[in-house]
Amino acid sequence: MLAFRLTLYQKASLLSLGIWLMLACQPEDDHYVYGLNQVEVEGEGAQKTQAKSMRQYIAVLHTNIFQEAINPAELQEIEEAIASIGDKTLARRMVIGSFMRNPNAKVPTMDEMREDIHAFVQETYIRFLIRQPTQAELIFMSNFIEARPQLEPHIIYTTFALSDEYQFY
Amino acid sequence: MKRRQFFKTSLLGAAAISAPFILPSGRLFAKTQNVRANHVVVVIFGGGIRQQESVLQRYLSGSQNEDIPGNILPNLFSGALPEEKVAFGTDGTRSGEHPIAPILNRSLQEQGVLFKEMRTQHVAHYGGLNVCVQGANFNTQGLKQRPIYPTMFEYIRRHGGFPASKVWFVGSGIGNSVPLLNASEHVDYGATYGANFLAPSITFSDEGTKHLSLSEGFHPEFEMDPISKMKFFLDSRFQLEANPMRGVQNTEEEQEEIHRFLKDLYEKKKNRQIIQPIIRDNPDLQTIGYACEVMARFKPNLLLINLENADICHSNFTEYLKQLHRADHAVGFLWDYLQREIPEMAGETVLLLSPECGRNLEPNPIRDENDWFAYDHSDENAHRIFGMMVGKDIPQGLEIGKENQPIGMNADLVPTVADILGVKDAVMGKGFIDSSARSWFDRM
Repeated sequence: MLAFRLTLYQKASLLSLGIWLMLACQPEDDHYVYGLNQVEVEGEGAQKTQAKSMRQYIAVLHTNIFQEAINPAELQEIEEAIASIGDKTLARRMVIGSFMRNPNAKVPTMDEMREDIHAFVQETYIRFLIRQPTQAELIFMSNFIEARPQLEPHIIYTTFALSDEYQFY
Repeated sequence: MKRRQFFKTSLLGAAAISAPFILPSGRLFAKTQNVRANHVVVVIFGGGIRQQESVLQRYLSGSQNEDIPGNILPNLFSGALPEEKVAFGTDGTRSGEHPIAPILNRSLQEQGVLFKEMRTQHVAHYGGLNVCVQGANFNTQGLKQRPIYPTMFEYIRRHGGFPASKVWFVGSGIGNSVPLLNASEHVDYGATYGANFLAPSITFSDEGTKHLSLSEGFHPEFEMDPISKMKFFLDSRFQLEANPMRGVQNTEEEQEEIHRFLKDLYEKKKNRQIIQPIIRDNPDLQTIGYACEVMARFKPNLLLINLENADICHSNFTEYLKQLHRADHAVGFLWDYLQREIPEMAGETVLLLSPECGRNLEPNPIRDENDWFAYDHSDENAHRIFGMMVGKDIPQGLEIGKENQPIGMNADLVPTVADILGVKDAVMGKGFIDSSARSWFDRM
C-alpha cells in the first residue's frame, strides 16, 4: 500500500482548491447590468401630434383669451374671415389682434406681469401650451421680458398664439 | 500671375458674376426666355357662361322661343345691342331696361385676339377653375382638396422668382373651395410659391370687418422684433414636420405691407373711397374694385380674378343676362382703370379672359319672371368656351377658331401666362400640364 506524504505547500494548495470549490458551488447571485437606453431627445411639446383644424384653433384661442367659449355664429364668421385671406399667418394675426383689442379680453396688465414675471411666464405656458415651462424656458422668457421694459403682455400672448406648438394639441 | 492666384481670382470672379442670378427659387440663372410683358391679368368667368349669349351674340334667339339676337357684352365684343326685350341693364320703369354704356371706346375684340371657339375639359365648379390654374384636368382631383399639381402662381413664382406680394388671386367669394386654388399640394411647389388670395366680399363684409379690422400693425422695434425673437425661441422647442395652417409664404416685410394695405382698405371702405365701377350692384363689380386696389398698390406681375355671379343661370335666366352684362362692365372698368390710373402697368400688361366652362344647349325646367328657361352646365355645349388676349404687343382684331374647328382650351392659360412672363420652357418641361395645352402665342 502506498502512503502519501504531503508537503506543507501541497496541503496549502489543496486547502485553497477546496475553499474555491466550495465558493464556486454556491447558488449564483442575481447579476444586474446597468446601461443606457437609446432615447430620442424631443422638445417639450413633442407629445402634441394632433394638428388643430382652423375651427379648433379659433375656438381654443377664444377660450384662452376671453376665458369663455366662443358662440357658434361667431366661430363661423371668423373661420370665413380667415378663409378669405391667403396668408394664414397674417389672417390669424389679424384675428388675434382684434381679440386683444376687445375690452373683454382677459390679459394681465403691465404692472401685474412685471410684479412677478416668473409666475406670468408659467401661467402663459399653462394657458396657451397646456404645460409647465422647462427651467430653460422659464429662465429665457423671464429674462427676455425683464430686459425689455416696454414689452407688453398682449404681445407675449400674441406670440404664443402664433407659435408652432399652439397649432397642435 | 501665379497659378494658385489665377484659380482664386477666377473662382471669385465667377461667383461675383453668378450671384445676382441666384433667385429666391434657388435657380442659378434667371429666366432666359423673352419676357413678353411684365404684368398679366387673367379674368375667369367662374360658374360658366354660354357661347350663345356671349361670343355668338344670340341673346334670346334659339334659347327662349324669341328671335332677338344681339350683343350684351359691348366692352368685350363688337356688335349691336339687342333691339327688343332688353332686360339685362339697370332698372327703369321696367326691370333691366337700360343697358350700361360701354366703358371702352373700342371693344377688346377689336383690340386683341379672340379665340372664338375653344374647349374646356371640365364643366363643373371648382373642376373648371382648377383646369384654368393647373393647366390640366386630373380625375383624382378632389373637390375639397388643393390642386394636385402646381398652379400658374407657383410656376411663375418658382421659375420666375417673383415674390408673393407680386402674385395675387382675387376671388368673388370663398364657396366651392375657391380659396384652395392659390397653391397646390405638390411637394416641389405648394404654399411656399402660392399666390396671395383675397375674397373681398368676405374680408370686407360686416363680419370680416368686425373680426379682422381692429388688428394693429406691430411697432418694428418694440413689438415686431421681440415677437420674432420669442417666436423663434418657442418654435425651436417644438419640432414641426408640417405646418397644418400654412398659407402662402410672405416675408415679414411683405406681410406687414399687406396688413397695412388691408387696414387702409378698411379705412377707405368706412369713408366710401374704395375704387368702384360706375355700376356696382353685385359682388363681382365690388370684387373688381378691390382687384383695382390690389393693382394700384402692388402692381402685381400676375393677378387672377374670378367672377362668378353669372352662375345664377341655374335658376334665373334674366338675372344671368344681367350678371353677364355686369361682368362685361367689370372687365371694361378694370382695363380702362389699369390704362388710365396705373402707369407702371399701362402698356406693360396682357389681359387674358376665359370662362371656367360653358353652359348647356338645352334648358332645365326652371322659368323666371320673363318665362325664360334656366341653364345648367353638363352637356357637350358646356364644353364650348371662348378666350381673349389683349394688351402689350398682341395683334389686333385677330379671330381664331370656328364652331366646327375649335382652337384652344382654357388649360392654355397656364402656358400662356408662363409664356408672357418668360418661364414657358420651364413649365412645359415639368410635364404636369395637359399634353395638348399650348401657349396662345403658339396657336396664332
